[in-house]
Amino acid sequence: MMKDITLGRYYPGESPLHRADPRLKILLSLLWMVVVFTLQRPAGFAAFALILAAALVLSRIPPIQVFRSLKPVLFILLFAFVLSALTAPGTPLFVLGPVRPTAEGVAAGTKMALRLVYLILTTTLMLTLTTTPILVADAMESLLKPLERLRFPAHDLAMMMSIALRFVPTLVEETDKIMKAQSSRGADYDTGGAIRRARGMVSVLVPLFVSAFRRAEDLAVAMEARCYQGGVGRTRLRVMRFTAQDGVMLAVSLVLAAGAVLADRLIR
Amino acid sequence: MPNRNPAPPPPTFRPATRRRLQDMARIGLFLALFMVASNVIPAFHPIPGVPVTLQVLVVLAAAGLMGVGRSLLFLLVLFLMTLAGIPMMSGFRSGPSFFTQLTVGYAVGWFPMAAVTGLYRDLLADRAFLRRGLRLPVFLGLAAAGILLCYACGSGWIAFRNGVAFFPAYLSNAVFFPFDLVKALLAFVLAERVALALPDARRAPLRPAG
Repeated sequence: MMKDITLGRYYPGESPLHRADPRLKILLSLLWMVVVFTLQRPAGFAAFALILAAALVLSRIPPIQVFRSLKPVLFILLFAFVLSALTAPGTPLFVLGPVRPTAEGVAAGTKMALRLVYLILTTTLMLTLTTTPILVADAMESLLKPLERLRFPAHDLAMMMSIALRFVPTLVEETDKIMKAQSSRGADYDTGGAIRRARGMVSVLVPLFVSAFRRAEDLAVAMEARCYQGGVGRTRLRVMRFTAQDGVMLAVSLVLAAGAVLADRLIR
Repeated sequence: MPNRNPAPPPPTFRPATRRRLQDMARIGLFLALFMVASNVIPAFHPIPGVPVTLQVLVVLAAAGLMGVGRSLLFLLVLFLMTLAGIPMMSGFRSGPSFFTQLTVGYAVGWFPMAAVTGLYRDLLADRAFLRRGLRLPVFLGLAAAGILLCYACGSGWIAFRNGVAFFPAYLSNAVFFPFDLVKALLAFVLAERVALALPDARRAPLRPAG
């Protein structure tokens, strides 16, 4: 079983993308999302592919790691493409009984599929592979901080994220232990009918949930005993700084984004 | 070495209340459970590309144990984490791209699902008039209503995005309904057993802080 699940698919390395301020990376991935959705023409899509290639080189991550992130959506992608190709009205490319893919449908399907692929690749490069989740949680808190004036509990939410990330490895280990303990008592998870499997599941999930609740209770008591008082006046282990390098990255990204949008608008 | 980052002294000492700490800890642990349910416990694929995972089970159990408000907060934090690229969803999916998927409506539908199912904990679970035998049908009824609402969000979004008719799309969810009902049943067993093992689990903290 994987114990490093909290790291997600983080790929340790030394690159400008790894070093950049995580807050900037979150904001930039939102910017790229907007850019991807404004793309309409082949020139724009090509320009974006060039930007992605540049980011890939900059991140010093083996490309196979990056493209692996597309695997879980492959089927949905294909399904949506076929659906769009077959159902959109327009001039049919060829007719094969009831199967009449139209040129318009294929164009729309390609656009949609490319957009999704681009979005996934940007998130993978900007966040998933180059930033540890715990840093992302810290960055989220920092970004949501202005909302605290409106009584939005930014610190509490970030604390919940940190608690979650901290306890995932513990719970994974616990799941493993409980599964072994229950199968030594005759529980069955992957053979037999649905009822037998559900029973096996219950025998794992009940102790898992009970122990998670106990841990939550212990944690709350421990925090109270240490006079935890939220984000006010707290110092941090990881201090985030917006460096000159981040400034350069922001500027370059803005120029590239504008370039992609312009290429999309101007080049036919 | 002098401390280069001294903490400004807090203006007044205001420790967090027991209730707030408990909420934070519980929601945090539920998020961890969700992550375990999405990516550690193996999914099974009745239709290729459409994973049946225990995610719905965790959401329903959260609603059954923590009630409407806190399970909605749980979902909000879950979506914020996903948006920020923390791989919470099955298949390590995350980031803004998660919200552009065709099937995102089903995940958004967890909000109404939790809101309806959470009524069980908020209004009914610890009431004397709800005898033991009535609990299961009441919970299952609420959860089924929630699941149907969730399907409505999911199919509604697909219908809107792809311009297909809503009702055929909605009816095609029937394939998944038995699986989700089993999950609701499991969630009920979980919520009741946890409440039995830890009598405080379903209640708001009774002792005041301090």
